Amino acid sequence: MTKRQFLKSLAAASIPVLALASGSWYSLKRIIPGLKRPPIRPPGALAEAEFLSKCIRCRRCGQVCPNETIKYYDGLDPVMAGTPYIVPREKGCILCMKCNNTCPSGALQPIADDGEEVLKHVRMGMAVVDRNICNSFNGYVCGVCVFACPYDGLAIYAEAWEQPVVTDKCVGCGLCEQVCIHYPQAIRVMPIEEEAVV
Amino acid sequence: MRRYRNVTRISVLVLMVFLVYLNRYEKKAGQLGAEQEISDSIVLSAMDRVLAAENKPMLFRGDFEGGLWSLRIFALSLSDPLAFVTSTTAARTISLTLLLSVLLPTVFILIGGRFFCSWICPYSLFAEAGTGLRGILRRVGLEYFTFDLPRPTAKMFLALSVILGAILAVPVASLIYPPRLITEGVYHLVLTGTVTAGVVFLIFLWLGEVVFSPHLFCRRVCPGGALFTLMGRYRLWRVERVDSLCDSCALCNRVCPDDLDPAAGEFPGECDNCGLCMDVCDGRDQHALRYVWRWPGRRSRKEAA
Repeated sequence: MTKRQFLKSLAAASIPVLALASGSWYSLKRIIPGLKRPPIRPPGALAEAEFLSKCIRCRRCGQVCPNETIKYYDGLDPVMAGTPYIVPREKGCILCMKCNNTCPSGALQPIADDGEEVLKHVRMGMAVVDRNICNSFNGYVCGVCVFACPYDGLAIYAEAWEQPVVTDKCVGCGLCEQVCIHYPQAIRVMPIEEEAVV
Repeated sequence: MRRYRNVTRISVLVLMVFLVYLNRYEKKAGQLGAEQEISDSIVLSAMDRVLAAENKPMLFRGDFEGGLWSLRIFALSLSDPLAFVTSTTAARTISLTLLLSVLLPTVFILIGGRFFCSWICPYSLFAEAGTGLRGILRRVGLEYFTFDLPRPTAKMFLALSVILGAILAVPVASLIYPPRLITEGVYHLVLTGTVTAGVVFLIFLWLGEVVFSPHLFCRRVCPGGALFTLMGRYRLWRVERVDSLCDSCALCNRVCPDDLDPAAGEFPGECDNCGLCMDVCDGRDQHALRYVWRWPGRRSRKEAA
């Protein structure tokens, strides 16, 4: 390779690379921190920054998901586009552990399909009850969220008048948010910022 | 050769669409149960009529998933080597599952070099169609200027994007990799009916190639092509020129989409074994170019003769 060829190819290649890299940088610095709610990732996901670098955007987790829970960003944002997320209000995760066992990249760490293991390792988010609007705290006995929880009694339990209390064992599957009869939902899964416990 | 390549590339594209539909169908059949008919999509209801004659899959089997970028067939997971390179450099950790899934494709690319580009990648189908369209435009009299970039541009693009990807911790190189964009485009088009940004990019890229320089992206930018160029330098399956049969008409140089010099017997890593040069050579009944299997160290047949 001659020096002239080297410089010409460097100049030619740097135009698309810089366009892509600056788009990614803008997304990382401006768009993602400004998100109204950070995305809830499928079970077993690494911490957000690590997840974004490791995920290869292959969409296999969404295809293997039997419940069609997993959705994908499909906008112009070069970093977020193609990464999986969950909207618990539309469809909660049934914790089948298929997505993280099929993930080829390791962005979703494999977890055994076993109740104890799931309870120990999955932290997709944390359910938070809004007592101002929750029926059980406002004179109507409800308790639907407690019945929907796969770990009822452990992750969420009902006090008097079926008032739900979420413990720190909540895996964040969002089934409670999906079934909540109040509109808007009185129980929401909030993303956890700290690193996933895998 | 072009006919065979068209068969493989079109069947790959059809298979990708079919896999997404099969996936959707199995889930839908599992949700609805055996009695109900699936009628929300023409393809799904057609699949329902064919498959319901047998016994309907009541449960979601999920034997296949993915596309060209990453694929699973039963327990066998296959991924693009570029996925490994970009993900590993961006995350700065090696994922064992990803390493295992790129092993088999890596072996194939070590054997066949850039054969992936010309025999499997659906974008090359459109790129070649663009070359043909350009020929028609030229005959009509509509020709814009043609330009080309220097040959190391693709490798430079790969290197720069891997470095910047490692700095930003984002897999930058795979952002504009056509097989990945086509895989996700098919997925979204079939499941949600949306056209992804990647597909729009590919359409504009294709139009730009037709107007200015056909096949430019595959030849000079594509990071996957650059990676396979590096990996396939000592490939076993390659095109070779037989000196005694060649009459130096250099028609092969004019058709070569990678801007190589087959007439001089030059087949470096950039050669994607597409066989377009062989087609024109056979068309003139010279048969001076042919596929051979050759070990890297061995002397070629022409040198031995």
